[in-house]
Amino acid sequence: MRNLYLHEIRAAIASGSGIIAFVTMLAAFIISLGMMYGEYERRIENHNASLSIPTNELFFDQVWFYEDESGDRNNSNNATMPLGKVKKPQPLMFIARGLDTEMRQAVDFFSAFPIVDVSVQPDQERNLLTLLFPAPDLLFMIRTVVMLLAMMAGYALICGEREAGTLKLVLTTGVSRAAVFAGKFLGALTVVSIAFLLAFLVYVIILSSMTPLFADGEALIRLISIAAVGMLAIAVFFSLAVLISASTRNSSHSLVITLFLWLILVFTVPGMTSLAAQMMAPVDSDEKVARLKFEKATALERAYAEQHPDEDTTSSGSYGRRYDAVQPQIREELRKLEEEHARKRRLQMTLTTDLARLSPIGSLTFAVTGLSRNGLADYRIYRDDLQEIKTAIGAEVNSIFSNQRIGEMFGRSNFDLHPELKNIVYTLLGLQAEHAFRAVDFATVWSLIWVDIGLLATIAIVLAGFAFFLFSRYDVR
Amino acid sequence: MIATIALKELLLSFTTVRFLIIVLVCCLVMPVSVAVLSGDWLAQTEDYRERASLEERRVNGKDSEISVFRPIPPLSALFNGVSQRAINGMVFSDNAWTRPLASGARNPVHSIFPTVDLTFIIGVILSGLAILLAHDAIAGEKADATLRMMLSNAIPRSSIVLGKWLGISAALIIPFLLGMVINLLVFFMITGTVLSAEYWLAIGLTTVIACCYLAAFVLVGIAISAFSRSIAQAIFAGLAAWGLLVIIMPQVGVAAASSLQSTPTPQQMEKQSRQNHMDAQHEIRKTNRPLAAELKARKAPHREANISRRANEWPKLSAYRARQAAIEQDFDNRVATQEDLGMLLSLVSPAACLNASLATLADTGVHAQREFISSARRYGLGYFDQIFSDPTQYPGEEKIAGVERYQYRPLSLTTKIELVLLPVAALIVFIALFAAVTVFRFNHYDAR
Repeated sequence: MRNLYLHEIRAAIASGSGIIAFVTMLAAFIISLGMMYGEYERRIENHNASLSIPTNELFFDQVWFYEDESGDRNNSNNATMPLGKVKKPQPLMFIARGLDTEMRQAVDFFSAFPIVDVSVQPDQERNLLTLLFPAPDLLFMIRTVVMLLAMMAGYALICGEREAGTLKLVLTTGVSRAAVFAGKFLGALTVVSIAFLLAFLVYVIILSSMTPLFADGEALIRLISIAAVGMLAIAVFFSLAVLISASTRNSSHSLVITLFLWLILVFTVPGMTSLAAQMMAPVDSDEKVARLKFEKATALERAYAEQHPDEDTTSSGSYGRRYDAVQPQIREELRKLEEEHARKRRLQMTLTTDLARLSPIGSLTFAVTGLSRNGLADYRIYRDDLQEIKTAIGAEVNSIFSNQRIGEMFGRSNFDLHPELKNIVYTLLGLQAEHAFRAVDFATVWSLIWVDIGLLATIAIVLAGFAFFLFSRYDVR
Repeated sequence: MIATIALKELLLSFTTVRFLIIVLVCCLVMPVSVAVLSGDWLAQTEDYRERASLEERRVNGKDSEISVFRPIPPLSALFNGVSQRAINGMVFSDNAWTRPLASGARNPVHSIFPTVDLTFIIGVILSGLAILLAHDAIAGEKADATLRMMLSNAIPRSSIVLGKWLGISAALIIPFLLGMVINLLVFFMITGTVLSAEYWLAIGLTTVIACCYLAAFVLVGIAISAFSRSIAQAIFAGLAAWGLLVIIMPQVGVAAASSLQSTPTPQQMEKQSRQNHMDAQHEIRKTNRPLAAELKARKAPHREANISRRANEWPKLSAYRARQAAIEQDFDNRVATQEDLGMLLSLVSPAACLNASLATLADTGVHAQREFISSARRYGLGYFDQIFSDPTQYPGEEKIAGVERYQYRPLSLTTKIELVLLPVAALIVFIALFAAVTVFRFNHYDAR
């Protein structure tokens, strides 16, 4: 078997197919690098712009213009909010963009002081064509080009040799079918895997020279893991191609079926499953939830007002009527609405990922995006962070403010901000500035993607086993 | 003669596995995609109605902030275009910059996998199947040795090419048309909407363009077949051609446009807007102070103070709004130039031509969004001038209620047809070029 294995490798190199595979992969990777670089630069520019906040002037500045002798006040609303917070782009996004587009929007921490909210601004990248035709990241090249080459390496493994007449010759030498199969299978697989590893290595070297790739402490182990996952995926598609090869007698048929399967598995199944999940577990939009919350709060306030018609609201004009007594109940109800919404989102995400795993491309995608810091876990943490900061700021504000205190604080008819109010605002800004977006560490990522890795490994072994089974019955004449 | 060859190709294909696969894709995969996207559209439309009615019912604050929305076009269920990320609303403020509102939240996993709408299925999958169908049109017959027999019957070579083209295209287009009928049925079943004549015309045009596109790729397959000596060679070349035309070229065109024509990043835009805003606030405050001091010294009544303040602020706010509108307009123009350049550069790819034409006809393209943004902006700018005809007085409820509501008018069919002319022309040029090359090459093809 060892001889067959070495022979297979030598044949691949001699015929140049190994070299062609390497060159094609490398070319694809370099094209991806070039096209992603423009996007990366733009993101860095954007992030830098968001950092420079004009600090001396930014805050909510409620200015009382004039108070006449009867105590009536007149105000002018001058508010300038700080720039929204933007997550810093990291070099691993070259490998898999993943959910980065969902996490690149700016986050505003308060919109209508003292009503605090965390809102994600809609994506302001206005050129829609770049959204329709995004630059291909490395994962895209892996799922299309590398998987295609893996299938090309295997589609003629059995039936091609049969057509050439060499298969029966090999079997007459008394070598067992198992040895022949193992030798050829492993030989061809080695060639493709080595080509991929070399191309990946060159890519990483070039990438690290263009970006601070290794400033990220976990970069090395993540890259190694990505290479490993890539090789597993190659094994899956290669085994599939060998299986087809062992089930047909004509290499042209084998090629057509292989190509068709590639088209379906890579392009159709993942997108369709995510559509199907959407149909099965729908989720309300953020705006709808905001509206439901608004209506709930208003309804509760109204009900309270009807029940307590004589109660004083001590509002301060511009802020509307707020009954202090009913605020805790409102907060509780709103929290329940948010939790329900979060639960539905989680359900849909789980369903989508489970269905997407029907195609090995789905597993590959989840694993690689998770390893590139743009996966589902990263997205979930991002949204959790938003929720947390909102709760923290909201608690801070609610502990300070009640209608009476607002009245007190704005009771001064001059142009200066009440010092206590200024302190509060700076505290909130401090909260915003300190809050860094958390990152998912490698151990957590690994614990989440072992499912995908196990799935890929299992599928590869099953397919290879099935291919061997067919080969053992293969008519080599 | 051409008809005979075409018919022969067509009938022969009915028995192949490939044909079965095409029927499956057209009659199963397409309707499922339409079904899901129709459900999506229903949810988004309900969202839109809620938003619009909430805005309508709102009474407070309409003198300082107003929102306008546009509905999601129904054909987005078929040809999604840029709907997933399009701007469907704008918020205008009398003393702050405009904020765009995006469509409702989608499942974020959708950004990992591309949306499989009809444009994707036709553009990527069916085109690949077209090449797979046609790759052995000539090389296969040569391998089977039937080509020389056909040629020995003194049939002109160009007729053979034409006949094969027609036959194989028919084998692809007939299931496609059947699939479109099923799609429309599914759409109507799920959404229950009745479409106007303009929509039907748009659907008809999109179907015709899609058929041209598929025929183009059948031709590419035949052309490659005419250049190949063996079937394996034909397949690999076909694959490379498909990858280049469908996957690589559109992206390269768009990327090139982005680097040739730059636009400010979102945060840079925001900074500019905030700076403009702060400058305006400074100016207002500077002049408000002495005014307040003077009024206080006179012990003027509250109402007079209010009128004086507003008389001072209003012209500065108007100037601020005009400056802000200029900043935003400049940004929009640069984005438009970048988009146009991107679309122009990707015209070499038939897939990009298809995408552009289908999206334009379905109102889900970049032009529809541009139209919405500019018309909304015109409305927003004029709104505050209208309600504050006397800037020193706050408008009453009746005045606000009396202002004309924003009316969203989608692009007219004639405008859309004009916009679609260029990509369709590029597609036709592409077909003509490939037809000429194929016939020329086949005339020198060694059939032995």
